[in-house]
Amino acid sequence: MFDTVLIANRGEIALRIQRACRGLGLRTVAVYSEADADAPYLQAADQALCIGPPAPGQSYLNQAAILFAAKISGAQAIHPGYGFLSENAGFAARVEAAGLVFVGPSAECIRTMGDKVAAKRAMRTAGVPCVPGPDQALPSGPAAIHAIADAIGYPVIVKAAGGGGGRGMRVVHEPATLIDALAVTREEARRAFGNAEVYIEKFLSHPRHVEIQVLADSHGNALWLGSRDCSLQRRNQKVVEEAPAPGIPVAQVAAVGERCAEACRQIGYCGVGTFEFLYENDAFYFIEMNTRLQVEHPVTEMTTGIDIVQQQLRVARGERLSLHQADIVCTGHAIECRLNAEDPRSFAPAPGWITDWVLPGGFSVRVDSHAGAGYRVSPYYDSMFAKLIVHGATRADALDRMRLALAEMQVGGIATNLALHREIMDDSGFTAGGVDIHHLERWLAARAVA
Amino acid sequence: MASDSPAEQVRYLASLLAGTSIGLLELTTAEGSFRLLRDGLSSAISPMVAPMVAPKGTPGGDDVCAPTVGVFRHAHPLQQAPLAPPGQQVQAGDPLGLMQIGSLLLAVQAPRDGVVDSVLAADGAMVGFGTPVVRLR
Repeated sequence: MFDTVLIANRGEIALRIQRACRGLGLRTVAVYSEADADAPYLQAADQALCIGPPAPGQSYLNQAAILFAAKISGAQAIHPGYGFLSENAGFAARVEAAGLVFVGPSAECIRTMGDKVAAKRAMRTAGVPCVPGPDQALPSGPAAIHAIADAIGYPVIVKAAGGGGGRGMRVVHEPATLIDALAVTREEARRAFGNAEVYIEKFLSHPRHVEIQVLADSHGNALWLGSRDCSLQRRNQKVVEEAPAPGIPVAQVAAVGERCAEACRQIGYCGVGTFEFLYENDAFYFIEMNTRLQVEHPVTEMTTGIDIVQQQLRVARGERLSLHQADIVCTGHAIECRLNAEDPRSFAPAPGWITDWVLPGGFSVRVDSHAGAGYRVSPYYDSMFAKLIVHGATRADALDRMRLALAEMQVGGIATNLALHREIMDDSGFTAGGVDIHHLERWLAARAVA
Repeated sequence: MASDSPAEQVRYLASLLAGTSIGLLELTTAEGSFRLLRDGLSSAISPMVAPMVAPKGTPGGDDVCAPTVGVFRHAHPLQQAPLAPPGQQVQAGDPLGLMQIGSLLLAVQAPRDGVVDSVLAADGAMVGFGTPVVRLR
């Protein structure tokens, strides 16, 4: 069984994984690009190896270089983190073929879930509620396609089977524009994902984004760890997340959560994962499964008391889950703010040197960050430089704590979205809870006019 | 080719290899593994390099950097003599050392004609991409 883990990622998640490895007594090998050569977390790894130049394609996405680093360092497992190669079935297969452990599900599971039509079919089989619409490839004749859209009822959404994360989709409000929309989406999908297959679903106009965290071992055991609400988004990017999703009856979440765990058992899923749902008019609709650790995993850690990354490593080592569903209790409420280096008006990434760095602290305040004073936020990668997470006995308590933490936190030298987060915490819609996925964009648009 | 005897297969591979500048061929199959090594090693391995890393200017000369993460080797595992000892005259494209990753060997090429000033990385050292390994003057 592996005792050395290569962390094929960067930034806060590389540090998060390193801490989890350390907690389990595992050695760590950090790999980095030339742009990250001065990152402080590299010092804490047992070994650090530069794998390429700053461009992600030549470093963090360079499969050969990462496998080379594993080979020479003697790492027996590769943790992909999130983003980069984390949902690349081909990479997972190469890692397995090299005789190493990919810390995540099998390449086959990743492939199935990466095909949104196949994923939907697998979910229906397991009894997970899905968005109305077929889970088969579309027929070729226009008349047959029109019949499908008519049966679903307009508006419908055309989505790329190879898409995800909000990319490769188009809303159609009337039959006259359906066939053109299909053609354009197909072409975009072919270019962006190398897969021209598209499918049609009912378009939900004002849903919330609610997701279920799952954890499964290689012995057929699967658990669900509660719900998260990630409805505060801008351009399909999550900005604030919380657990549990406010205002949804516990029994309803439990029913869906149990279906998610069952789906994991049926497809032989091992590792951590997230079932993403749209939630509208008191009903859940599956949209996609993320077959990896997620940015927002800490809010679930805070409410369940479970170290999700340690559990992920344990099941990758072949251990049997020592937890049972009855042990999993959601306590209190947690909120996470993603802190980005970005222009507060244009939201354009604003990399640069951090000159001042004052972190909030106190009871139930957590900061997951690889940055600090003197750290340079790189222009090559995602602009997120920290995650601020708080826990409270109630949602109101957590909101109060987040307001205090945001007031305490100071970051100088770069433009950040700290001020935006402070405003969000005072927004009446968000504080009431249960806003839809368009709330933040509406709010920003209204603010821009005012 | 599959119906040929192993000896004929090896002869066939050798003939293919002769038309290239590949220095070492290692094949591992279900039946076993074998190695084909060409004579004239120094001219042999150079085409196997990863994309060249631009040399970094230094007052004493040019530092040639590792083109990939790997274990730096002064000499080929089957040969005693280092590929580029200090003082050696080299031409652009000559191998100055090798990056070893398991059984894979990649040459570190001289980016220009020159003389080896010093070998900066120890034989057997684990080096990252971009690490200066040889200095030219």
